[in-house]
Amino acid sequence: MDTQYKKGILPMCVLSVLKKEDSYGYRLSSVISKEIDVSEGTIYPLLKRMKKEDLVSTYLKESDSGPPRKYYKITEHGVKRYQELIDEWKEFNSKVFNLIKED
Amino acid sequence: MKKQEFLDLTKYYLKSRDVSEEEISEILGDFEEHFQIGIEEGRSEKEICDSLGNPKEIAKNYESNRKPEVLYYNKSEIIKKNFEVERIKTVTYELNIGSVEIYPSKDEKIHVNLLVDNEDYINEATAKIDGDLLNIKVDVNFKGMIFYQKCVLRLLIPESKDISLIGKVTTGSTDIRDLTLHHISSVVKAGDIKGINIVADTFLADVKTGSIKMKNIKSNIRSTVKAGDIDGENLSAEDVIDLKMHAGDIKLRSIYGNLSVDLKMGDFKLDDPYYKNNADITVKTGGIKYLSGENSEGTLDAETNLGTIKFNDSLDVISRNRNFTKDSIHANFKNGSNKIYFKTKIGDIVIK
Repeated sequence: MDTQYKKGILPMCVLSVLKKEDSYGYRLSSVISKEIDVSEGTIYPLLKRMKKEDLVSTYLKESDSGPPRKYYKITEHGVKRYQELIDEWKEFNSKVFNLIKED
Repeated sequence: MKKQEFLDLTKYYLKSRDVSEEEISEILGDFEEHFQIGIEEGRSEKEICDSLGNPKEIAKNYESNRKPEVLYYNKSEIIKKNFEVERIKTVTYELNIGSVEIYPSKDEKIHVNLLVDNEDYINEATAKIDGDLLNIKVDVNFKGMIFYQKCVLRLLIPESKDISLIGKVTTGSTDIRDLTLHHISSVVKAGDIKGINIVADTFLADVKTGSIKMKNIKSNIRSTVKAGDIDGENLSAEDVIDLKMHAGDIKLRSIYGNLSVDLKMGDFKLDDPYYKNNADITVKTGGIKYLSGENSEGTLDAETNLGTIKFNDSLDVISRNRNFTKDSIHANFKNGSNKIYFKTKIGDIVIK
């Protein structure tokens, strides 16, 4: 799949995971790279940019095994943006589907 | 690759992108945490490095603090997007055929738009942004009847004494109006330049064949026309209004500043001037007409080799040399003590 194409849908995927529960970088990158073929390192610059755009916020949380982990939490603005992205995505998909369906 | 190598390389590439020290240590911290958890889960450093990807590619995805690099907009982007740019100090444009319209922008941005009937007529159009320089080039190739085709390069520029505008049109026209800028320089090979309601430090207009029309300009002015006309109204210069012409007429009304005119062939008409220090008018072949200049403070030098010099109103001749071979007349204004010198080799001098 085209890299640019994948990069375009990544923010939506990250927000989707964070909408369910707060998470840390390692987990986010492994969950997403398992489903979409991107290297795990791609997620970190994206998270940083999303934080700057106020789509996510971060906080430190103690872990059982090691030092505290940086957790990401979706913001109110992030929830709104997520809905917009999902709507756009659905509309786009249905249009593409109409174009490519064979009958 | 092992953890330390990955971190070192990432740091190196982030540094080369001018990412701040503070941000670099935060980013490296994120990756340290990533390694830490991965190792807890039983993965090797090498495995983790492989799944993270290439440090160079990762670093590229972090925002750089560096100034934007040279940016190009191509033909279809300029035509369709009407793109906007900020923080530009110099705007240059080059258009081979068509008109350039430069009007004020309503926001702080410079807007660039190319209006064209048919995109196929544009051979090439590029806008290059390099630091604070915006460079626009448009190459048009109208096929067939060029008079029916339209190509307009429209620039909207915010009011700013920091911005300079320098441009050239080969065949066509340039229309500049309602702008306050630092410096304006406009060249048209064949066609017209129109400048209306302009405030600037310098306003340069240069036409080979065609005309220059200037109205309500507060700036030092230098205009050159090889063949055509210059028409100026309500021009005010801190220093000098300098006009040079090979063939054609120069008509001026309401002028303030030091006036210098050099006309090879044609007529010069000056109405209601207020020259601060000097007015220096030389016409090789042609007439000089000077109307109602009682407000002026300085000296007027008017000279024509072949032609007529006419004055009306407000002149009180204080001495006259009837012998025109000596070719000098000294005159004075009615309500001033300033001097006028004018001379003619062949022709008349009429004073009313």
